[in-house]
Amino acid sequence: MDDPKKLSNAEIDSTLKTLDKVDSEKSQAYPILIIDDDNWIQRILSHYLKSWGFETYSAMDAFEGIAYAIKYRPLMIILDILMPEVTGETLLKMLKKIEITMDIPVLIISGNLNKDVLGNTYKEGAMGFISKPFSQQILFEKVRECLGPSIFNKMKADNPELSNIEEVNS
Amino acid sequence: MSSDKHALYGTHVKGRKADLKKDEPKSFKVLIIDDDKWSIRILSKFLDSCGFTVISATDPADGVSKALKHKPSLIFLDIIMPDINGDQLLKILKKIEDTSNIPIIIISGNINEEKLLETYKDGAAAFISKPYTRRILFEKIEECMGFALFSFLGVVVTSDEE
Repeated sequence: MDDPKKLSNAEIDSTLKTLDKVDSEKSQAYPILIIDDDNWIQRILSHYLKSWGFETYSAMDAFEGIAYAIKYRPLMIILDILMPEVTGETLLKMLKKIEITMDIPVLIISGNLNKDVLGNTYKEGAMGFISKPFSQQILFEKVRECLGPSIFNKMKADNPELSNIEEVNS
Repeated sequence: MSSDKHALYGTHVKGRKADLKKDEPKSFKVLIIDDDKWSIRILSKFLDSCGFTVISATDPADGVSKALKHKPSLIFLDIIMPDINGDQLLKILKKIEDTSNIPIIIISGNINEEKLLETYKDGAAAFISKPYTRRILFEKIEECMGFALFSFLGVVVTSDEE
């Protein structure tokens, strides 16, 4: 199995251009919330997720993050561990304590995933971890890890024109 | 200040009670978010004594949960708490759609001008410094709740008053 190839900046642009725009009506049933103060990561994640059929919402900080988690009830949350003011770890704790959001699986994303971060967030209830930089393949696997494989079948049934990761890679 | 005004806030409202509608009396729920149980007790006692329904939370996450669950008419928020400080919690409550319109009164044992400005900027409705008197507390509540409070207490404000 090849190591996922790290995308260069030029390749990122061309990869993004080839991603399908999904019919937004059909994707509304599958919302994912991204909480990350890094605009670029927000956009990359958004593009990938949209191409697989998800509706994405992005929050710049913890305050928006909690508000959107409550408002949109996403299927899962992708959470940057390193954010100014309120850290990702604190936010994770809060999400796990608030009734409405406690069952939403959280995927932690980090540019510096060390044993401590991993240990702490795992203890606080994070479901998965992804290190920056990441490839489309890895992201897909992690999302599937959090949501379970059946979700993709459901999405495909709802929207047959959907491209999935295998098609994109070929 | 006429002593009649005190009577407004006591459990027995004398004299000027309006006809409370026979249907559902509106219940004023108040949420207190404070990590200090004693502070909660003192405030609770005051609020209880004039007929509010008091809900309390000792940590920010529980505070958010209860605010969503009970939709209180008013929130008292302690500014200093572990984990997330009161100001950040204030911002969160103001961002969440369902709680954004609830007036929030900040309580603090230690204010300065900077903190005052910051919390007003972030959406606080009023600010109370500890220690506070019953009168100050009710003045602040009245400030935030206005007319709604009077109708709840069943008081008709006539021109006889001050």
